[in-house]
Amino acid sequence: MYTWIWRHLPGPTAAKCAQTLLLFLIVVALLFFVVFPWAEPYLPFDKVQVG
Amino acid sequence: MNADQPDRRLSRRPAGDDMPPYAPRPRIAQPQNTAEPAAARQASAVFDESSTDDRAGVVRPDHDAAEEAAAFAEAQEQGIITDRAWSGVADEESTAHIPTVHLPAGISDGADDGADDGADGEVAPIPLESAAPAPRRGFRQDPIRMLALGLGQTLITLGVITLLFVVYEVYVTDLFGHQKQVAAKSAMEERWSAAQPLPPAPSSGVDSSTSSAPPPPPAGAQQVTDPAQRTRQYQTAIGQGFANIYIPALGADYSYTVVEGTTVDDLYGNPGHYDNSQYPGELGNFALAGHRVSKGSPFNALGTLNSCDAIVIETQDDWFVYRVLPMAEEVAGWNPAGNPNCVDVKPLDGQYAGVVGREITSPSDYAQVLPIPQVNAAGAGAVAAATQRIITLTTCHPQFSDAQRMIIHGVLVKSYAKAAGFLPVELSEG
Repeated sequence: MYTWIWRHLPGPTAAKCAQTLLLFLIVVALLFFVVFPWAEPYLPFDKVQVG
Repeated sequence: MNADQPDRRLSRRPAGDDMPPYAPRPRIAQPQNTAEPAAARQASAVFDESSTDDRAGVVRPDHDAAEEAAAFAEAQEQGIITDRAWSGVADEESTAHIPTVHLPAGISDGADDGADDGADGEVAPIPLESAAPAPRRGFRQDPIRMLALGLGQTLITLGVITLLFVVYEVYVTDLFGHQKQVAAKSAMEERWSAAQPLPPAPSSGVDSSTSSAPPPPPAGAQQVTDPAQRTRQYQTAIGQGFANIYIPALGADYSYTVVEGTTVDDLYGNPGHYDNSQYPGELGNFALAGHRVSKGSPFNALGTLNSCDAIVIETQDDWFVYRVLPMAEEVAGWNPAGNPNCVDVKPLDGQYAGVVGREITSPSDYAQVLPIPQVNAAGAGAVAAATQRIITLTTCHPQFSDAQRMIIHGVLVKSYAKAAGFLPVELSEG
């Protein structure tokens, strides 16, 4: 998968590196702002109440 | 990933004359050593012998890049080696059934233990290498290899996502929680200032310690109130802040705004009030929940509290000073001599027997936040039976888990009416 992405990024190596970084940051933002907040309530360290 | 391709190619090489003529290393090595077309031709035609070729084996590490390039160009001119990739030669010389696979520049790097790494830059102008496209290997050619690659990449990706989740949980949610806490605090302070201005501090001539400020803060004694005489003047709404909590033992800057409710949203960044428990200063139990790790981590350090540490609650009109009850191991032989903070603190008895400063309990132990903790009765009757003004803090335990709950119990020891410029002396305890 990563090979495929790398092959399809245009430009020289430096440009590919920059695009890779950008893609990585986009994925991280998606995880931090969408995926993780959604998944959090299902995980076993989120409860502090009794009862 | 490219590094292992030559090995694979070698391993797939048919024996004998079916040898495809694009074996990577011997081809490069042969022309550079001999610079003779005949030798090059021989090497081109019979690859299988390259591994037993003494000259190639011995000389190759010492080869000179310029010599290699020159020999190579010569071989090209004589038609031995086309200027296309190795596969071009294969088409001319052999009927090898191996699919067309071009040898890219990167492969020679990985194949040869770095012996000719320095030469690559020089060889690059030769069309042989620059014209070679990246190798493409499909699922059909080698399904096991592709499956292993895919599995490996998936596992690595999952590992990275897991690490990112830890970063998110431990650091990023703290940032989000802090934002929510700031918003809750400022909204509450707006409501407080809109409700009614604080009464001016009564002028006092008996101020003891800090008399340098122009408007001397009132002596604490004049602000002391009887909590039984104070009635709650404010209403609360789920998710809205209604009090501040200060725990000086956890730092002079330890301050959180307590919101009403204990849902996931309420507790994001804030300590939350069990909305069916009592309110600050009231008979019964003022019970709060807060996250220990993540989402602002308001109750992270509850494990470090000692008996008699102050927990100060500020509401719209009052200050309420609670103190942590004696710990279970301190109850027997409670002798706080020498600790001035413990003057009003003593082990509870009667129906409160067993209510101690810190407890580790099960998540279902709801009785901890009832008006009389551990007496399993709720409702108006339970409040009427209460004779103590308790505070209860609950958080998860152990750290990074919510398998259990840590419970902190305290009792009200003092209350003050708020006044402009007045701060309880307990806030400056360290």
